[in-house]
Amino acid sequence: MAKPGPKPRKSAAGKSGNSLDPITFSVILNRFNTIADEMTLTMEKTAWTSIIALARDFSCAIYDAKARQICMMDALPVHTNSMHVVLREIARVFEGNIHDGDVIVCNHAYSGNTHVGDFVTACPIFHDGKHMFWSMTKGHQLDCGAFIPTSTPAAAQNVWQEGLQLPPIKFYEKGKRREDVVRMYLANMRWQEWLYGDFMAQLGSIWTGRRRLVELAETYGNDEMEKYVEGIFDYADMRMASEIRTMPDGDYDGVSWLDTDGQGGTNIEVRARVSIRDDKVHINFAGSAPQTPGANNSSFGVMQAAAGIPIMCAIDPSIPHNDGCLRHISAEAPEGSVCNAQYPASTALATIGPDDTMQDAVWKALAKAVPERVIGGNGRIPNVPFFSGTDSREAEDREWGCMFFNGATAGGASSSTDGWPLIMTSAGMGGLKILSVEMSEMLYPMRIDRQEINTDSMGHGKYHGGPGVNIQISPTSGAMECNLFGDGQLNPPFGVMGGTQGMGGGSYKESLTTGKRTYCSSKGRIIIAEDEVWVGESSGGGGYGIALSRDPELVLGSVLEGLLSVACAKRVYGVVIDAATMTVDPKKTKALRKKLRAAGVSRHVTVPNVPGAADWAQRRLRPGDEFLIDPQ
Amino acid sequence: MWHVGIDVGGTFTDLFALNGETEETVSAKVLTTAEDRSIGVLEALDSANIRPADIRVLVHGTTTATNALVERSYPPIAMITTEGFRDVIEIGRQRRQHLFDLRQKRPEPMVARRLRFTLACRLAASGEDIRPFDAEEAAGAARRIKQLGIESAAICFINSYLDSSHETQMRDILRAHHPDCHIALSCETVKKFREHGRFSTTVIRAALLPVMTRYFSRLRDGLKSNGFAGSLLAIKSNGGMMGVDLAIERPEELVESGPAGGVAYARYLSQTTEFSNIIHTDMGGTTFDASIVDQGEGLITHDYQLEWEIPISIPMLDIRSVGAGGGSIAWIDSGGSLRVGPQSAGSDPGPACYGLGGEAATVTDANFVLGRLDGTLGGKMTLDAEASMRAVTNIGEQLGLAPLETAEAIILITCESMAQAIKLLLTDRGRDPRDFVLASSGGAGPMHACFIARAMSIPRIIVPSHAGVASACGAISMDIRHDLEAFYYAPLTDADFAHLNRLYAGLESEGRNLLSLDGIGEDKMTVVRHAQMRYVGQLWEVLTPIRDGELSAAGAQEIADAFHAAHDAEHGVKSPTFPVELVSIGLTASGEFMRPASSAAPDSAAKAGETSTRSVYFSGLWHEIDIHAGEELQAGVTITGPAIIDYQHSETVLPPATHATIGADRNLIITLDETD
Repeated sequence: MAKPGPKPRKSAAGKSGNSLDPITFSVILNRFNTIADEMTLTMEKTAWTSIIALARDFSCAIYDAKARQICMMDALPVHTNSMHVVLREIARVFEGNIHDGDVIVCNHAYSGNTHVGDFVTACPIFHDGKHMFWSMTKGHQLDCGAFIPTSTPAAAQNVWQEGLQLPPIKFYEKGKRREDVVRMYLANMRWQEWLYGDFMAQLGSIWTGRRRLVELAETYGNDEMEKYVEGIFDYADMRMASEIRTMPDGDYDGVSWLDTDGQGGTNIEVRARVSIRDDKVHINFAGSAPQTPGANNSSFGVMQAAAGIPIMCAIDPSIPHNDGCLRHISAEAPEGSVCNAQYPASTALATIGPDDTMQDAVWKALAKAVPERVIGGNGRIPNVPFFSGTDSREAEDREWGCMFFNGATAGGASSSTDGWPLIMTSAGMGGLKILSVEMSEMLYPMRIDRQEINTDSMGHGKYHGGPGVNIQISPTSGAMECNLFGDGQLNPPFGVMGGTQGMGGGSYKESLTTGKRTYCSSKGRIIIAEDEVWVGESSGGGGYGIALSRDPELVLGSVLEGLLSVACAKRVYGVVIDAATMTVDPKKTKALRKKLRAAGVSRHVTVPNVPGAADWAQRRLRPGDEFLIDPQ
Repeated sequence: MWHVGIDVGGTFTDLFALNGETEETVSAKVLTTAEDRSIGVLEALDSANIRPADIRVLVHGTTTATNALVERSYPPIAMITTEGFRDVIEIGRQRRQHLFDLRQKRPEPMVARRLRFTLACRLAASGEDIRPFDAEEAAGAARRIKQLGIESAAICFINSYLDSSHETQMRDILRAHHPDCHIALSCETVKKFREHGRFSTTVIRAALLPVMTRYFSRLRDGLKSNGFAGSLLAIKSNGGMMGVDLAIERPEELVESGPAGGVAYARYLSQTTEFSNIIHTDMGGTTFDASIVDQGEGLITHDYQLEWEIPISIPMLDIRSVGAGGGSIAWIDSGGSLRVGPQSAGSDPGPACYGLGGEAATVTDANFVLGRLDGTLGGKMTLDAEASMRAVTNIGEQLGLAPLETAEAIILITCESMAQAIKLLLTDRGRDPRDFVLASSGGAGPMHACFIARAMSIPRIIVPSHAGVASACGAISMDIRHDLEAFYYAPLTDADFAHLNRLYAGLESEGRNLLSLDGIGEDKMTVVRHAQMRYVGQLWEVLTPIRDGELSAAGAQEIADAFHAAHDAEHGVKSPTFPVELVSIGLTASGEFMRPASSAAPDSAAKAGETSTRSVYFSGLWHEIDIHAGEELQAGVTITGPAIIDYQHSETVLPPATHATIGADRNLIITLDETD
């Protein structure tokens, strides 16, 4: 009965000259995404430590045999914009010695990894005897065997103080586990059972990826598969090229500062030049400060990621973040600078302060090129500590440790939306989760006394930054050690196009008996005694546009919701609110706005442009209070 | 007397009814009456010729609760919580849905911040009362809530899962000051730790209390004034049902009330056919729902999200939705790649072929161009073939494809995205697709089922005989079901089994009591125990079945083994040497209601009757194929694809290399033939 229809035509998709069927193309693209999603789910649901299972400080991605990123989904930007760097090193080290059934791990920053806390597992995937793909995870470990109980030791001065260094090394060879090597690894770690559980989760994830990718290769065959992978790169390449061509060619400069180096040095400068030429963006961190003596240095991998993330945020979010997209961005930094440290300098905090400072410099430069595509500064994390101690609540004492993300900072405003409340660092862009208060109090000997939005904490503007939070924690079973490793207390989230900076923020401990406060800079180690409480105040994000042009009714709404004070509405937004009726007084508002405009509004693309501009500490410090810089 | 299932959806109100004496069945579909949905219910009864006085039981599924929440169309509510924690529902887990999208907005919190009041009282995690309840302070909050004219409030204190006294004291004071106020307590709504889920669920209960009280009163009054004297039951999100009196008190259990009926149908199929493992799918105009029935029971989730970071932490059927339906729009992205959905043309303007002004090519248009859709939509309207062709051609030109190829591509890509949604669900729940058959319901479902199954390598499909009114039909096969939970946290080796036995006994008597309120006799009750467990140090729990009877330390290993097996089933791994802990315990108390009897065993001698023919396009070729009237096919008949089987409320498309058999109850069993 059948009669022929029109002959199916093949359309030429992509510039590599491959003739691809557009439908098969969509199907395969979609399947890679699903596989990366499956890997992510497997890892989240089976991990042992809160840092992975709850906070989600991990990423999963898929690469081709040449270590080119095919797919990443829903992952931590600072990981996935740089995972190809460490994978290429893994492939180079084991060239000629890569077999089906291998699992290669690495946490070594000088092998292209981000920092010592990030543990990479990668497995090569073979089909019909040919190496086709890599599946890969990176997870932040609770411990890495450093001299203090944290995987982000702010006081480390070299790689030996950071803990166990694992350059690319096989934990499995041809399907067989190297038990001696795994034992050596675990012998160096605190909380071994938990870390072993996380390792199993990372294995489960890459093996899920392997199973699915082999199925995919079976369906289409190796040759077709490779052709379509090239097509997927070409597709992203083409979209990325046309996206970057819409940005004006030129060289744009940005500057930002790292609060401290963890060793008492302050306001370490980072400079970025963003050069846009046709369909390429190059970022150069030349002119940045020399590397610091502490752990606040960027690794090569983090520098690559930090340069790229703002660009990735400024493009159409639906462009796949694969090699075709990444190949349009390149970055360099002088060796021996804070942006690209030289062995054996420590880079233990690379993904935190150094990453966010570099990103801020790139964001600020980008604001000069395409102001409508950037956001106000995201807060860094001056008050996200690693808590630890001895839990004596039960008959048997138990060592405990926990990275506590709950006091995180907020995100900046865009040209059309207020900022996201609590974005938690530009490195994560909101990929991390906070812990449940009730669960934390049950698991750890602590009481959380407050976790609430911080009024007036954000940068203001036509759109205001997301608000920060105020968090307060007391130890309930003896003293508690508090290791701070963040940044952004002295250098607040920046404002854009007339928007103002966020508040900055930080932390202190307060004695319940004397009321004395001891402030701590964004890095350092302090002990919270049982009669003391630790208080963190995080910054809101930077504002966008001129506050005097924000709709007065929206300002009133923020006041009614307690995000802004009546005084701030008047002083910054020029909106006069009648305290009795809680309504806007339109006449007085008009007059005040006129007066404030006449007094002048910011003409800078971004503010602040000087180091140490946050005034949070000055605002809060009282006579008799103490301020410690990088205590160890 | 009739047993009636009614599903009130956004567009249609579906009815399916069974006469208990004559075993006669009827179905009907009428338009939902948005202004007062109870009118549509009466119209559906009218259209099926059923008098309210002749109804013994009416089981009702409704999307009213979900709509009120999503549209925030409930009266303003207040929240009373612990000082320092008024932002639990606003901060959430702080995660962003799309990391690289700088302009996304968070869904609005369910309670305005200005209406979140705080009290200083505080319980520690040990249960110790470290800041006692202050009645004066509480009275101040109560007076303010009354003054503001607020009609519903949620009371949510930190650590109240350990001790409810602060919350109940607050309730008593609020009730004394403001007797008309609806009140939801977090310690009653969710008896477990993790404040975000508990508070969010409680707030949702508070938001729905006034809405659903009004809705059900109106419905009951409407029915009663027409002579109805039977039982009125509501479908719950957990796949069971409850009496309307209880539904008014626990409206948060109604959020999946609509789709849950369809899952109940799949569960019924799993018990009456040879297929015990079923992936149930339902495809309508805008969304595609998928869920799993495993060994005869719908899979339950404990971490459902209403919207981004708005969880409902009660056991609910794990139903996943993606924006794919007949109205999904095809478009070309900036890289020249064809995409379909999630944007939908809805019913207004609808697909181009509706001729109501829609110009975008939708999935329905693609089907129509390919000849797979009857041009009158079952006699409801006359479709405009030219408009469909125009819309599809327009997309094709941008791709360099002919219209027919384009239309096939649109179907393929939609089916692929539905298949991927199912795959993610299966992975998340650790299930292997090869162990399942695909059940396909909904107006648009059976048209695409074969393509979805092929994309997932599932060779068997079941299209139930009442696929077009699946939720209404499922409604009359349901049990009454109550899920009860209690908090109990301890490593298994340290567990106090005497205490555990007391907790289980308490839950069981509560469950039996609830069932008897709905008239279930002791002999019809079933109680199944379970516990939320995890490895010590792990942070996510796995639901583990617990055996009946007295538990003791001697049986601890049996409990541990059950957990290892459950962990393996959920996540594909287990670690039998690791210590195990309990986090909470629970049970499901169900009461068997009534089941439609299975009928019409297949007759292998049966032959297909009269058919008409139509030209339909598959894989680059036009085929002249048979159109079978589904209602007239006898059990036992086999039909070889390509063919179309036309039912009253849906159409099944059999592409080439498939064949279908009419099974018992006239369900259609499709087999995909091996292809290269």
